[in-house]
Amino acid sequence: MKTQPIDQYARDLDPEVYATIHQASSERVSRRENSLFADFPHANRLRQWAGELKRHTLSHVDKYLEQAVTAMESRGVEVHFASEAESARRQVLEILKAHEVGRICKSKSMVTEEIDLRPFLEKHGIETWESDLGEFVVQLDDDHPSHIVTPIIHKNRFQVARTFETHGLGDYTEDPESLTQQARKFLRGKYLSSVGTMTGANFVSAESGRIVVVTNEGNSRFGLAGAKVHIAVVGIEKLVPRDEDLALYLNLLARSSTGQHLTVYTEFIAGPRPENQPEGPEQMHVIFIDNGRSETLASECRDALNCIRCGACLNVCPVFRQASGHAYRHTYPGPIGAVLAPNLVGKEGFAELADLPKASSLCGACNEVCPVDIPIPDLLLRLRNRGKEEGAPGSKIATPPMGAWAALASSPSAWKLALKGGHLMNAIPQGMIPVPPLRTWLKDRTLPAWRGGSFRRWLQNRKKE
Amino acid sequence: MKPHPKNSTERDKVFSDLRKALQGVEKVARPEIDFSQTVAENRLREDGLWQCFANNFQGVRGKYIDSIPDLAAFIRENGLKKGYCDPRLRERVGEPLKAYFEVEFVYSRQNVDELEFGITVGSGVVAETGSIILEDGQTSNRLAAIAPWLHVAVVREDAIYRTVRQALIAMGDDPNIIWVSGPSKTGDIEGILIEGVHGPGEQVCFRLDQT
Repeated sequence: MKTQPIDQYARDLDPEVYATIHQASSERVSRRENSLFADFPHANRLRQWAGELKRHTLSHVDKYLEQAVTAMESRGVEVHFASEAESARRQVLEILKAHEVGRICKSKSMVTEEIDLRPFLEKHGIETWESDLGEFVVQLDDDHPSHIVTPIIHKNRFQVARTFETHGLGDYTEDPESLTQQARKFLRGKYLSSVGTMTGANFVSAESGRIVVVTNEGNSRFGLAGAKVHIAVVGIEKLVPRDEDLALYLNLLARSSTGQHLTVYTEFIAGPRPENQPEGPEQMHVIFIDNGRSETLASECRDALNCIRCGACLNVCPVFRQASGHAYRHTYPGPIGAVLAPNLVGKEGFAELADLPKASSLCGACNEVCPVDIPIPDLLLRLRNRGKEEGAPGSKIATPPMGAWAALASSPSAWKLALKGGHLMNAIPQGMIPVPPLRTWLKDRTLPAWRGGSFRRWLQNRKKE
Repeated sequence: MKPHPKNSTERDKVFSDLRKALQGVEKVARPEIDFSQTVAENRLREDGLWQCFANNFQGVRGKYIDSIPDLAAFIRENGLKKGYCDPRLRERVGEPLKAYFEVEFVYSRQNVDELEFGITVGSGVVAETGSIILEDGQTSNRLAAIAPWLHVAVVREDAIYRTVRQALIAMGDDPNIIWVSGPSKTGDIEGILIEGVHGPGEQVCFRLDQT
């Protein structure tokens, strides 16, 4: 029996990285709980409404998308569409080339990670800067983010210090505040000299066509103050029906994510700057992207599209904490990633990620903390099933052969004998158990001592009492 | 503007893929949301909305100030000497501060690094979250509100919204509205809270009486 790829990642994880992730994620779990339940004793009801409203929106997504597009175009936004990643990348490049943009600053955006935008733009001669501090470090290190909200949760200050020194941002310092100041100084020059800026969107109101972008650092705002051309790449699932619905989502998002009441900068963008405003984009482009979303919508995992990318399910997940985000081998890690990733990659990519839905004990913590109440464990089970039906090799890894068990379970006398014989197990050291798949399984786990048959005895005694 | 032919093909494809996907999707009705429950009432328990705002704004490490001497003292505490003030606030704020600081009434890109504080008009505040509302129609210069180390949003005392929802519903036609809840922050390095990442390290809300 082979071990799951995610087990391998967990085994190879640097103890220092493990400790950093463990501490950061557990802190966020308690911050979330404190801020959410202190302010909303009925927080679970809010989560259910938020989920139901997303399900409503997605079941009418064609209508709401049309409404949003009409509202945007009436305010002078140029709206584009991309059915897949390559089309989106090309369109971004075309817009930048058409306006002779040679340098851009971009805010943190998961969808641009998903379509591998930065390497593509750089290859085509566009100097591209990630302006979120964490993403900036990821860029300098030529690494990948390991968390949806805190991209460098897997790095500590010493690693950041070495990176900044190597790239000449300033003298070596281990003080996080000085490191932040080095990045501040470096990036502000880039904001002021970039003609283009890019963002994603956390939400899009169909009613007004406004896109909502939230940041804590103010990087999207600086980008939108310094540049003349704004391009937003937006997944079609970001829609909400009305402006007022944002009251529900904004109150849930920051609390679920970092335990804040609201993200520091919450920006509502409906179009290019007005004439009286001297700074900011004269042009705004929105690219709505599908890239596997309609396929996910058609599938029985459509609820995964409700996700508002808060990262709460990652923080609380015992598997994520053991294995880190890179173990998921896709833009979206953690429990939600284990559902989203195998869906978004389409039919061709599914087999490659079919092991992910198995990397879960189905403990249900992810569902409990989800601000839009996505039944992640159910969706994981559906994906496991799909993996089996499609015969994806990854879906079989670490599944013990069940033939012997089936033979035992269908013969009462053999079963009883086996239960008695089970006591022999206690006499053998676990590393020497003569069943190879079991030995592999036991590499990362320990079996409790065999107590065989005690349930039946307990039941009989109970009846007598 | 006419859509590019290729864009219109992509547009058709996205819509037709979505409609195809929706064929098998059960229509879900819009839930009846009781929006009164989306309000964090325990953050609105002080006497008076401004007091609620002040508490919540200070809770996110914003600085609430309502007099010129206090404002001058706070800018001085931060060791700042030169800044920008929206000319519309010249009489009420800019000129009085000139006694202590060098104050420019024109914001230029050449001076971004020299202008250590920026004073612009804020359109309102949200009491529930301790947020300042900035709108393009009122902000004299976007850069002046994000680039300086210290930003002061000057807000009229009647421009206060109780809840997030009320402020959302009242959003007018302004193409760019930003809510600012305290100074620029990050927790990216080991979860340690650092302020003043790209935006201001100090965020002031200055309440202007209507006199």
